[in-house]
Order: sequence, then structure tokens, then C-alpha cells
Amino acid sequence: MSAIEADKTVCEGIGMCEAQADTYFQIGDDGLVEVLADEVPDPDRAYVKAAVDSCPVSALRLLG
Amino acid sequence: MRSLLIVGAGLAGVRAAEGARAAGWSGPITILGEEAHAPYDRPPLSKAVLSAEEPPAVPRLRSEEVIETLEVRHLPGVRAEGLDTEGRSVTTSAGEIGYDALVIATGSTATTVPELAGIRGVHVLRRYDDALAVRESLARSREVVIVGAGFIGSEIASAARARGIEVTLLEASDRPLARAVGPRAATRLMHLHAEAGVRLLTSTTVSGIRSTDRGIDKVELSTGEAVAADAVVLGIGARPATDWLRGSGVALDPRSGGVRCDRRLATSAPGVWAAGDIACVDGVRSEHWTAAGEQGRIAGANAAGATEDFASVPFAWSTWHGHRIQVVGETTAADEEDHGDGFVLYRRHGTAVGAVGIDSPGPVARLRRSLAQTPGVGPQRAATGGVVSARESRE
Repeated sequence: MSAIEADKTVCEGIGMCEAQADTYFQIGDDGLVEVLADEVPDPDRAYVKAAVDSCPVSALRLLG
Repeated sequence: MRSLLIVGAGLAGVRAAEGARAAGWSGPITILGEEAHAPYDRPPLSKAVLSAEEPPAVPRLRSEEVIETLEVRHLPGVRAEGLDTEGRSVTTSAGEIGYDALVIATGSTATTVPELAGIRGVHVLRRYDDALAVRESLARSREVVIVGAGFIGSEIASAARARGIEVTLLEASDRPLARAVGPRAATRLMHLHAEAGVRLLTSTTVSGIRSTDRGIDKVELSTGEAVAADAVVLGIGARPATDWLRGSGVALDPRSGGVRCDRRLATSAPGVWAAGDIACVDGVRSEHWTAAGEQGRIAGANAAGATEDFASVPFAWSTWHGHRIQVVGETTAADEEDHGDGFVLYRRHGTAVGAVGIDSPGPVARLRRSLAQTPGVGPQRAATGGVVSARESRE
């Protein structure tokens, strides 16, 4: 099990994370990332990792 | 073991390596980069790099550790010069390199003006080294002339104004951003420049530059006026870096000069895929960061045996004078509705197909989400046939 950490002070709402993993990320009405599920089960880890790595401003991290 | 060669160390090249590994490619992967730097990201070049007080470090795409984990060999400072698709070999400045699968991701080269090239104080902005030179030049300037009122020129104008520099922004056409957005959105966007004190001159080009031994003194315009300037930056577009492919087995699009490929990003040559600015997919080049990343991943995955199609919703973002600009979907040939407060919506036959947002991230995100689920537009992972109304996209 891994956990997602999102830094809203860095997020620019570009939405690459949502485009790649919309069950975990969504751009909210404030234009910033909302993490829809904090915990990532192991089978989803690679899928979420790709979304985390795609962030152009490095606002996301996958812990564990 | 089969080897994968990736030519180009930008976003599309790095994502191709990641896509190939994720799709199970177990053989060696080599990335050739013409520049001496570690693979780096381009959006910061016209944004954070220009505003930095001190010369910033190269904005790396991935840490050394991540590149090592991927088991990718990056060869910096190596230029591709030719391709033999029958012998499966690339001629480079460091000799011949063979491949079993090849991903071409050489990006674009900034367009320049032959009469201005080589004049001290005249810059283009495409590479990290260019960005360092422009930053250095802005740090010493009181007045600059920027040629081209597109996204790059506008970002440079924004960085210059943030430094208190007087900016004259020249646009050769009578309508800026004609290739990117409709006239109403363009008017809104150009208004941001006016508010920030940028002097925008349309239907105007540079006719000459007067220099002294200290550098540029004045820029002569096609209108007859001479504007004082310490530096000139050209933001007049880019063309695909495909000269090295001429005469090879990879077919180029005669109009754009890009590499012709299908939705799977396969080129006309066996074992060769293309991604990023050079990729001309069914006749369309998507010169956006988001498309380059997605195409890179798919080209790498398909080179490793996957069968994915590229079909993402066009999306670009920018920041001008502190305002966040987002462009999503189709924003040129459709009907244009200005909804006020920074949201311009595009429709075709009544259906929302795109938008330009100025400080409107919520509505833009909702529309982008809907477009991604619209058949024929988005990736169709949830092809619900959802038609977006303006109200839905705004609420």
C-alpha cells in the first residue's frame, strides 16, 4: 500500500495527473488537484506512479 | 537482446523510455541527446528560468536515480545525422548506432530571421542554453523588442515586464494567435498585455537593427519608427527537426516537414515510431507538452509490442502577467462564445468542443474531463457519448 501526497502550493492545475489516473486525481473548482483516494493498493501503484511522475511542476509524490 | 534507440532527450524521448519499460521492454535502451545536458523539461525555459534572480540549474525531467532505475543509457552531445531503415542503423556525430526498434523524438528548431541571425543581442528561445542567454540579457536590459505575439513571445514579454523592462511586442499579422485561438479569445489575451503595459504593434515587422560596439541600440520597424532596445528576442515559431531524415525510409509530411505516422505513432518504416513535435499524426502535429508526453509514452509502449492509439484532448497552459491561461480542445475553427469573466467557449453544431480560460481553471477542468469522454475526441476509456452543454461545463 502506498500513499499519495499532493502539494497544493505548487500545483498549477495542469491536470496531467487526472488525464492519466482519473480515479485518483481530479482538478477541483479552485483549479487545484484533489486527491480522490489517499491510499493506493499495490496493483494500482504503477498506474498512479506514472500519473505522479507526469506532473510538470512536481507537486505530487507517492510515499511507500 | 533487442535494443531500443530513442533519438531526442526531451519529454517525448524520456517518456518513450518509460513507456517501453512499462510495456515490458527488457533489452537495452539508449537515448541520444544533441545537447550536453541531462534530459530536461522545456516549459520552465520561458517561465521560471527567465524570472530567476540567479542563473538556475537545468530543469531536469527525471532525477539521476530514476534514470538509473529505468536502466537507460543517455548519450549527451550526440547528434543524429542520418538513418538507414533497411540496415536499422542511425548515423550520429559519434558513429553508427544500430537498433531493433527506434523512436524518433527530435523536437523542433526555433525559426529565425536570416538577416538578424548572428547579431549580438538577438536571441531565440528553444533550448536551455538559449534561456540562460535570454535571462542574462533581460537582467541587463531596460528596453526590449520581442518579435512574435504567440505563446512564447507573450511569456517572454511577461517575464520582461516582471523585471520592469519596457516591452515592445511585434506581430507580423493583423491578428495575433490566429493559429491557436479564435478572435474573441485573442482580443482578451492581448488585453492582458495592454493592462501590463506592453506595447503591442500588429502588422509590424523588423526592417533593421542599429548596433553600436556595446550592442543593440535601436530596432527599425516596418512602420518607419525606430524603437530603442537593448535586446531582441524572436518568438516566431519552430519547425520540426527532421532534416537528418531526408532521403531515409521514413516518410515526411510535405507540408509541415513532420514525420508521417498513424495513430499508433508508427512511421512508414518498419520498427520506427515517432513522438512529440515532429510527429504528424494523421496529418496533424500537436506541438504541446501534454501531447509530447503522451505520444512519447505510447510510441515507447508500441515499440515494445503494445497496440495503443494516441487520442488525447489538446491542452496547453501558460502564465502571462500573473494570469493563468489554459487552452483545451478545438479553439480555432468552431463557433466562439465569450462568456465574460475569462471563459471563451467553442462549439460545433451546438456541442462544446473547446475553451480558452483566463484564470478559470474550474470550468476548463470540467470541460476537459467531458471532452476526454466524448467519442472521437478523447481517449474513449469511458465512451459514454456525453455531450457537454455550456452550463454543465461551467457548473
